[in-house]
Order: sequence, then C-alpha cells, then structure tokens
Amino acid sequence: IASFIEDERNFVPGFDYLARFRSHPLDASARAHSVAWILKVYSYYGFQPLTVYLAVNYFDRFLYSRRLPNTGGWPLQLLSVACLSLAAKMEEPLVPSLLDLQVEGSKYIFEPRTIRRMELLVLNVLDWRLRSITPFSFTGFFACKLDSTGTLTGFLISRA
Amino acid sequence: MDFRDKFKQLDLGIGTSLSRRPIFKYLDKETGKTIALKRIILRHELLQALPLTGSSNSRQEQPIDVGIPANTIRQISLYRILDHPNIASLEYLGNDPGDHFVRLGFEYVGVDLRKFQKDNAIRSRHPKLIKSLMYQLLSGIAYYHSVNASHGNINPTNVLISNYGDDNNDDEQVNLLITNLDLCVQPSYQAPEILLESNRLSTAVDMFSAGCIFGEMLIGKPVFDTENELGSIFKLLGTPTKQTMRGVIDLDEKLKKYQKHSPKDLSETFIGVEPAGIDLLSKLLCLNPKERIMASEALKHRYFYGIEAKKRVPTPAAAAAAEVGNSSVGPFAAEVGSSSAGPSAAMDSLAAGTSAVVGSPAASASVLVESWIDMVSAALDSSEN
Repeated sequence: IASFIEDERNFVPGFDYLARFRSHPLDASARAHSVAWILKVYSYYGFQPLTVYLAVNYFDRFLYSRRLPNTGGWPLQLLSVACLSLAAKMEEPLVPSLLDLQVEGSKYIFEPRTIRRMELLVLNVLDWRLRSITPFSFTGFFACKLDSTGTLTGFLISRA
Repeated sequence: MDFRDKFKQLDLGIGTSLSRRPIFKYLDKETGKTIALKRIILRHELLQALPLTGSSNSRQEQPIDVGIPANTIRQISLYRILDHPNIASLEYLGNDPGDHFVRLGFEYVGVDLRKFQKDNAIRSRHPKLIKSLMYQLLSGIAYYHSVNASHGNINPTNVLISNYGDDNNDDEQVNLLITNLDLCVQPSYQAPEILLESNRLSTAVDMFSAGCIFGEMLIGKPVFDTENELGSIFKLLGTPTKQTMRGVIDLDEKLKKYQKHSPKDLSETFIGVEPAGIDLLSKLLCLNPKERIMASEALKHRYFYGIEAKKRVPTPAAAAAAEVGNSSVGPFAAEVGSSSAGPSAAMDSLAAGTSAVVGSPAASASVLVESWIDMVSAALDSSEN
C-alpha cells in the first residue's frame, strides 16, 4: 500500500494543473465538454467506471505536459477519443472499433488511421505508463481491512 | 535520439523470435549496459502478413480498425511498472519513424538458462544452486502475479543466469532474471490447459512452466518431448480425467487421440531428489490449473526452508538502473519545462492555420489532422533530445 501512495504521484498531473486552468492556456469548459462526452460513451457501452477514470486521467496528464492549439474543438475531441480508446483497451474485455467509439453526438469523426497515430502520440507523451494508480486501487485495500474474511469485499468495492 | 546513434549491435543474435526475426543484443553507448531488443509490430496489416505461431499474445482476433492493439498496450504498460530484482527491466522504449513497430530493450546480463546448463553441465545440477535459482524464479513469477499479470511464456530462453563466475563461486551469489523476448523455443513449456486450448487461462500457466524448468534443472534435460507435447505430459502425469481436470475444459473430444496413462511416481523419473523437491515439483506440474500451487505458496514450501529472499546483486546494469530510477522522479515536470520553449511556439503557429480549415471538406481536414499529429510528434522528439 505504501508503494501505491508513492507511485500515485507519477500518475497524476502536476499540482499546478488546476492553476493553469484558471489562467488561460487550458480551457476548463472545453475539458468539461470532453469529459462529458467520455461519460456519454461510457454509459452507451456500459464500460467500467475505472475505464472512464483512466481515460480522464490520460486526458489530463496529456494536457498537463502538452499544449494543444486552442482553436476549434477537434484537437480535444481527437484527444478524448484516443484516451478513451486506450483506457478501454486497458480495462474492457470487449473494445468497440474506433469508428464505433465515436458515438453520442461527437462533432467530428476521425479516421481510424488518424486515431491510431494520436494513440501513439498519447502513449509516447505518457511514456507508456498506463497502469495508473487510481482511487480504485485503494478501495480494494480498504475493503480488505474492513472485512478481513473477504466475503463482502466484492460487494464493498462495487458500492464504493 | 535515433536508435542507431544510441546503441551498437553486439553479436550474431541470441535466437529467432516468433515472428522469424533474429533477436540481437545491443550495447548502450552511454551507459555501457547490454540490452536485448524485441520489436512489437503496431500495424495490423503487418501483423497479419506474418505467420504467427503459438504465441499466446497473438491468439486474439482483432478487427482491422482498432488502432494500436490492446495487447501491445497492456504488455508495454505492464513492463513499464515492473520493478523486481528477478525481472529484467525495460531499459529502452522507442518507436521507429514510420510508427510501424515499437522497440523494446530489455536488460540482458549473463546467459540464458539453456546455455548455462550446457556450459556448466556439472555445476548447474548442484542441488543447492537449483534451490536458489528456483526460489528466484518463483519470486519473479510471484511478483508478476502480485500485479495482476501473468508472464505467459516462461521458458529457458527467457531466464537469464548471471554472476556465476567459476565453479568455486558461492551458489547463493548466482543471479536469475526473468525476461520476455518471444524467442522460438523447442520444446514447449506450456501448461496442458493452453495446449488443450482452454479459453480460461490464469496465472497458473506460469506455475506449470516453472515446474518444467525445475524438472529440467533436476535431470539436466527437458522433461517433456518436442513433438508430442501433450502425449509426453500425460505419459508422466497421467491422462486427465473428469476428476483431475474438472471444469477446465470439455475433455472427451480432445483426449480421444491420446493413449490412456496413469500418473507415474515422480521420484522414479527424478532420481535422487530430496522428497520436498519432489513434492514441490508435483504441485507445480499439477494438471488441473485450479489445484496447481500458487507462486506465493510455492515460495513458502518446505523445499525452500533456510533460503532468504535476496537483494539484487549490484551488477553494473542494476546499479545504473537504480540511478536512472532516482533521477526520473518527475518525468512530466522535466518534459513540460522543455516543451514550453520551442515546440509550443510551433504549435501556436499551426493553431493559427488550423482554425480556418476545420470548416473545410472532410478529406482535407483529415490530411491536416495528420500533419498536425506529425508536428506534435516532432515537437515531442525534439524535446527529448
């Protein structure tokens, strides 16, 4: 568990990420828009909550280390698609194809080839560190502490 | 930095990969470390062109437009976090300019287990050495399983032995590293449920492979045959019945072509091995994956009484790796600093151009998106140098 806490630092955007939203380079409403889209796709396909968390985590970490041109919605939309696709591939047993992923009123539809390149870019920016330490990693630990017999662990985790 | 500038190819190669390409060792010109390079192909078209053999990673069929294969992403992000004294660390990760494949450089020290056994026929069969090596092998596997992963391809070419020195050297000092190079291996070290094509695979597959290696160390030759893998497994361990492999797979159809055998007493095949060793071996080579011993349990087996988990022997490679680990505490922070200067300026200028194009016909927009990705990639490369 100690190593979780230690490692988590490597998987969150830096502390001044929030501050940078307040100053202008990162647009908070655009991010909210992208996150809302990711959530829509999540309910459409019934993904696991962890998938969404990871997608947003990749999204934030990418924005933290790279600036996207602030014009039009498409770079952010492309980033959202790539991050969600990566997260789904990490966690979901069945992953929709890249075209099918772009549902729920996304304004731009990208070619699979383009998304593939964006995925690679995101992977390189994130240094392929996709196994993020998330709050989900901790809930398992705490559930075990509360209920040492393990019978209710799965239930607790699902409620958390 | 370009791959060719950073590394120098060392020798004639250490084997052939599953995709029929030789695998070479390279010397890192800066740090003096040796790595073994493995390539993972990203483009699906290329993947299909290759004759793929029994690699467990390639079984899953994927539609054409899924982007980067999920297995690749899972594998590499796993290698990224692995940190254990008995697991070869990932020293280099880069993709080629055309984005066709990713190069993975794994730490490579010493020789693989097969060569070690060949060159040190007598030494490699010391009971004490075998015990120490098995303990390290199982520690590494237990670590894999502790992060919810399985190795899936444990075999003698993926096990590196180093620091063995001459015959008088202390057995305790010999170091073992698990790596994963996708080399072609004969015979198979795969668990019976893989060979029977069960679709429910688990971490237990690694334990069976560990059992094969244990047996090979004890008798100095592979336990199971090259040609008739399942047949030889059944000859030693007995043909599975509904009782011994319950719930794993529908057996009747698949077992028709095999002769019926009853399990043999392992101590007759593995002569002169202490009873605790035979007991551990039988638990590793258990046919039913559900009853097979787990790595963490195996480490507590009485065969290992008196053995301590050890720290990594400070080989030059390991020491340098530790240094790198310390210095890279804030990888993102460093990157941000460098990117804010040059590349972002380039992006701004690009941004000015793109705003006009978004409304234009879709075809040219996608070309533009491509060129934009090129630009950002280039910015990334330049900030790394």
